[in-house]
Amino acid sequence: MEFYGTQLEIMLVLLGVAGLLVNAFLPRVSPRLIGGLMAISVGAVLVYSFLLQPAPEPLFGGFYRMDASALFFKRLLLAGTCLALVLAMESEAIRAEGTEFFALMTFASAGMLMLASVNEFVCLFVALELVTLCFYVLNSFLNRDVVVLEAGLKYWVMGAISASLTAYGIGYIYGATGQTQFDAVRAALAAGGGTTGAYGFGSTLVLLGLGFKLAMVPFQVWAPDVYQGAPTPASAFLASCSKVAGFVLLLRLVGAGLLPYGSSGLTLMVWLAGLTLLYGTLGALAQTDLKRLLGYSSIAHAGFLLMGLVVGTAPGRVALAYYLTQYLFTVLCAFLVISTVAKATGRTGRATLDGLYRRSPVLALALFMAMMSLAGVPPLSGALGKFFILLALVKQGGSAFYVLAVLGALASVISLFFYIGVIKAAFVAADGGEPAIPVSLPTRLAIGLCMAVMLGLGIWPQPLMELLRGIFGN
Amino acid sequence: MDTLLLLTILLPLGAAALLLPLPGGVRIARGLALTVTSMTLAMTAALFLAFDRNTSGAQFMSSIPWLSGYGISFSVGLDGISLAAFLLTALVAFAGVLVSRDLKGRNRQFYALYLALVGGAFGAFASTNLFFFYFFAEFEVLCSYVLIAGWGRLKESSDRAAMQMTLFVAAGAVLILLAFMVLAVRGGSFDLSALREGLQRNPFPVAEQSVLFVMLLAGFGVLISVWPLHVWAPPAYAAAPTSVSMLSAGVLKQLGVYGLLRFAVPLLPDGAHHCMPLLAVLAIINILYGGLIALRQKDWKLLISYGSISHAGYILLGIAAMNRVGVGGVVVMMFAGALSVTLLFALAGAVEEQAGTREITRFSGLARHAPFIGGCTVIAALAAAGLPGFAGFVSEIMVLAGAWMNGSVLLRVAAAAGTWGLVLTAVYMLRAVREGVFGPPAVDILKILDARTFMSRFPYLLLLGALLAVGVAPRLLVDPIQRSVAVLTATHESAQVNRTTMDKR
Repeated sequence: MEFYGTQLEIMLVLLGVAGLLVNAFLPRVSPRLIGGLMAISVGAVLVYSFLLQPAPEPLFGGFYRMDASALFFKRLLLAGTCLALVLAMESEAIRAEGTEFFALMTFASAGMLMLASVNEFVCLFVALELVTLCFYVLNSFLNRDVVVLEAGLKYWVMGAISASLTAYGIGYIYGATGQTQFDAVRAALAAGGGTTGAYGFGSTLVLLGLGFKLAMVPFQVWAPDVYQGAPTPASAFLASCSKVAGFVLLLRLVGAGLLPYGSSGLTLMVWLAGLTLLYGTLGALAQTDLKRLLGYSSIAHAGFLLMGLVVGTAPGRVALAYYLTQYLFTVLCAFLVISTVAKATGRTGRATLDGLYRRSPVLALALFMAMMSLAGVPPLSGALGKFFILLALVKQGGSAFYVLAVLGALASVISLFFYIGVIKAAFVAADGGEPAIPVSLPTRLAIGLCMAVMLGLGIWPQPLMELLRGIFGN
Repeated sequence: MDTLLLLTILLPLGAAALLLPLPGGVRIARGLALTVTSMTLAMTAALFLAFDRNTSGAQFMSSIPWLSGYGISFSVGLDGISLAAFLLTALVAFAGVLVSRDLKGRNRQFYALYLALVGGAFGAFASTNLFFFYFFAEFEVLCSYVLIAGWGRLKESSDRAAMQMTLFVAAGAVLILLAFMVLAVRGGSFDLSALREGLQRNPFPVAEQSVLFVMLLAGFGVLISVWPLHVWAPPAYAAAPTSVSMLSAGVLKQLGVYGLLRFAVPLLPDGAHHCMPLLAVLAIINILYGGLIALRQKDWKLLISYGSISHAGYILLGIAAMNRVGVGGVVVMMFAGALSVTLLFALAGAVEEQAGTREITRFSGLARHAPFIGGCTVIAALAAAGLPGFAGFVSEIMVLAGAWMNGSVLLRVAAAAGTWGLVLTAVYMLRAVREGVFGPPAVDILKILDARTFMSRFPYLLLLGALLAVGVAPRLLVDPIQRSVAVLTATHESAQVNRTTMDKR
């Protein structure tokens, strides 16, 4: 019964092990085939997950939850992992090293699925480290390239610092309340005690430690460097699934009433959200490398997501969940295009997109939609994501939230400038007559899926919103 | 009839989606665009005829539930004011396709985006839900960016102009969005009629209303190109391909006027009243500033653009007047001003495409070399200058009379400035006509081929005909709109009557 909640994670780990073993014992089977099979298997796990029902009771003595929100986000993360595997299997440099990269991705994915369910601080730490450890390797995977190594090192140093912050914070929380299980901690806090200051300190440290995963100010500096330097599939996986998993975890902490702690905690989070948004938006203005641009853009989007989080109301949670859902597909779409172009040209500067429209209309259209969705232009899903978050802020009212709403609106106008810059290169700029870019069938399917989701969620959001309102309340 | 309205909005959008993946060259793309725009024109005409002139509320209503729990549904309907805007859009869209010939490639995409732009405008004008108005308005920004950047007439600067326009208009749009959100949260719904009831039950204090009104004024003001938010407009209109400049000066700009009349004034009555002096001052500045700058222009398209900024002043003046005559004049002006600007841009585009110049002195002698285009230019310039017999005259008289009737001293000053503005308009338009259309023949003029066939003359004749029809028989347009305008101004007018009777005592 207890394993009911962890069966998806177990399947992923077994899948990763199988990928490694097949490559070890049947070296003549091409890694691309294995990667493709693994992507299909993750898709199968996703389909299987729809047979599962949410379990109302906590599992493993309260350590783990398989509630409706956990199940929803597990499905989302599985879909993201499947698409990211498609991205990885098409990369020649990664295939040349065997199937380790794919296996590490599934292990990290198992950690992310755990993050969607954790209900206890030690368990949280373990799941977080599982994801981060896998990414240490993924980000420095192509270790003959100095740029990649630099990215890997940066991620590693920042990751180590943030892990120690988290662990230290958990220690304080345990010291203040004598508990590590979320509900028990909350009960201990509600019962009152002389150690709330220690809890406030500990919970702030945990927030900052998690902020590393989300590229939140003041732990945002690594994101552009790592996004640019890491192998493109690793950046894509980092930008989509890892970010979603981090926010899902924060959402649970906020939902459990553990964050933000007190009015000063809320003020801190409001400031962090605003600064993250501004840093990402302004930083992106000057970028010419696409992956680096997406790094800054991901910081800006983290700011937006944090805004949905600090509202703390049910509309805020629904908005956040909608935003995360569409953001995952939008970002993967952008990375699928960039990775395909980079494979053909060997670079990731914005100039590689020049005349993309002539070289591959499909890729150009996908890029157009992804950028417009990131910028928040209707009828694409990103527009609604921003709309719901701003609406939640305005609905809650209060000067801090109004300021955040204005800031968010302003940032999305500024962001138009650099997203349109990318589109301009693809559609308006003349190219040097490069050959057409071939797009493989799996990539085509993945891009098509992302485009359908962006357009579908933007034009007909009702079913998803009904579902989310059912999960997170009205 | 209800489905007809829905169809008018969805047909261009559907055709746009169809056109993108469809194979085929210019012929098919332009043919489809022509078919669709002529069909929407016919359908709009049918709606115009079927419109009940004795009702004030929205007609042809239909609603598709879209997002329950947020009060957002895709609801459309037309009242008098939206009917005028609808008719304008249909006319301009059809004429725009007729005049666009020389696109230099990618015709399919151009017409697809063009149709999307048209459908978006229809959608925005018919929406009775605040969310969908915003949705369509923002969608328009995207389409017009791509159209101007991709098919602009000037290689380098059209890119820049398009980006500038996008940033300005998008900034305005988010202001509108934020104000709409505050309104919807207070009133409990995004649906216009539910919102109006909600706000009546639960009104804002005057101070908050004023803040929201100024936000909306700024947001829509960007679209109307109100000073000091007009900076983007002249370069964008100059850079855009002819049909797109027609649509953006003729239709997108009216989206702002429409938004003020539809949302800002009725939902924030106290705020509108409170901000009347601001409106009046902005009106004076716009009329004189736009006129004076236009006086100095040598570039024909820039002259038209600044003239249209000057016209924005009259729109603000009419709204500030807040009575049946003034606001009615604004609606007529929304229609007439847009048509004459559209016509001028169409003619200027025809000259520029062939002679390769926008400088007024370099196409002098137009009347002798190309009598039809030259003649139309003269008539259009006279119509824009407010010659009696054209719709522009009717609207200007209504606005000025309305401003005078309001009774406020500031508005009377503004009305006086408005009369001087008319003189300015006459000066710059007639000077352009003297130097450009008549005058000694220039070298570039020899490249121009006059519009000789009926089909090439038709778009200009259509726009001129509409201008003349409303000018000669203003009731054609005033009748359908008067009920809706009366509802809009009712509360303000009773206050004005009280004030004037008190003056008399």
